[in-house]
Amino acid sequence: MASEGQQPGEMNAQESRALERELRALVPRNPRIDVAKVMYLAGQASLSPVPPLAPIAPTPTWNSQWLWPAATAVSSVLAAWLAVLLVLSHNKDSLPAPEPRTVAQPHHATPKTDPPPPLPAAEQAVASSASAPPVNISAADAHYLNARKTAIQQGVEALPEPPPNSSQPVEVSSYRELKARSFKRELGGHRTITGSWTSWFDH
Amino acid sequence: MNPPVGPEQLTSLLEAYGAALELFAAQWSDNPDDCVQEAFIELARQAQSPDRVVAWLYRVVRNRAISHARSAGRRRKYESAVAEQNGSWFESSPGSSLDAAAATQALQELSPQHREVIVARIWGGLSFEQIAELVGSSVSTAHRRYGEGLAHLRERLGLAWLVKDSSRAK
Repeated sequence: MASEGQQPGEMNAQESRALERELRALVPRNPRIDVAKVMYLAGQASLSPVPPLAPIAPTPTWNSQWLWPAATAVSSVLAAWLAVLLVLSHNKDSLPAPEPRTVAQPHHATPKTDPPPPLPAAEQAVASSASAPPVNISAADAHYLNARKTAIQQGVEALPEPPPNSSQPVEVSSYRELKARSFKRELGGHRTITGSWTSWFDH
Repeated sequence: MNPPVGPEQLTSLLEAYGAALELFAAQWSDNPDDCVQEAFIELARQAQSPDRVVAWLYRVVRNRAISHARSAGRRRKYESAVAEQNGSWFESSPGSSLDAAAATQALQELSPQHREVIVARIWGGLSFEQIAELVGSSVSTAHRRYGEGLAHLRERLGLAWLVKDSSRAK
């Protein structure tokens, strides 16, 4: 019987033990399991054992424990390094190209004196042929080459004034005519070349 | 390291706990013998024997029985119809003053949470710590469910036999 002050539905320890004893006396129904079949299948299953359960699994070794974290760390560092290289190379390409520096080449200083008077054609031809291979240059051509060299190096102002008899410009229309006049002037000592470049290139 | 379970140990476990395991699985599955058979085969497949073999067997049987019930999709319907299909869960025993059919019906009226604690404790012989681990609750929760289940069974089965038994004990 329930003790005094006990709520309906509650049990004291004595009642609980008595009920447990009576319930435990009930025998579960005979198992329907086929023992022979279970033993046969269990023998087959024992030939292909499964790995141990997680709680009793062996402790992972150092290699298996740190292999993938180490691989991840190495890959991350490598990726960061390549990214830095990429950024640096991009910044380098975006910089303006450096100005080409002019390197002074050693040369013989020319005295700043008045230009020497033009040498006679024959002497210039000899002087120019001293270092150059021997070429048959006429005196008129030597004079022309010398004047061109002077104009290139010192400007047109350095050229000597043409003689008074050559004030009348001569119109030439072809290279052949120019050569003919040059030949004539060579005989006379001076030449003056004028003419249009278009007519010059037409021939 | 525990050695694997041998044939002799497997036979003794079957004889000692086979019926109780079937009773435990019958709460969910209409084929409790299949669940028990699969649990013993799984035990034989283990390369190392579990530390607590009986508790391990109860856990595997419970998982298998619930899985069977879910795959059949009729767990709730079965909980009310299991008595009609399988009859009594107990044998008629002269050592008990309880009626087997009445005890079965009283157990089936319990909620699954209370019933599994009662079955595992009384017929399975598990400790409350093992029951708590089995059902995934705290030890105090297992204690509470056990007390509530016993109280329901006492009310359902009547107090006459208990009063007589208690007075006889005094």
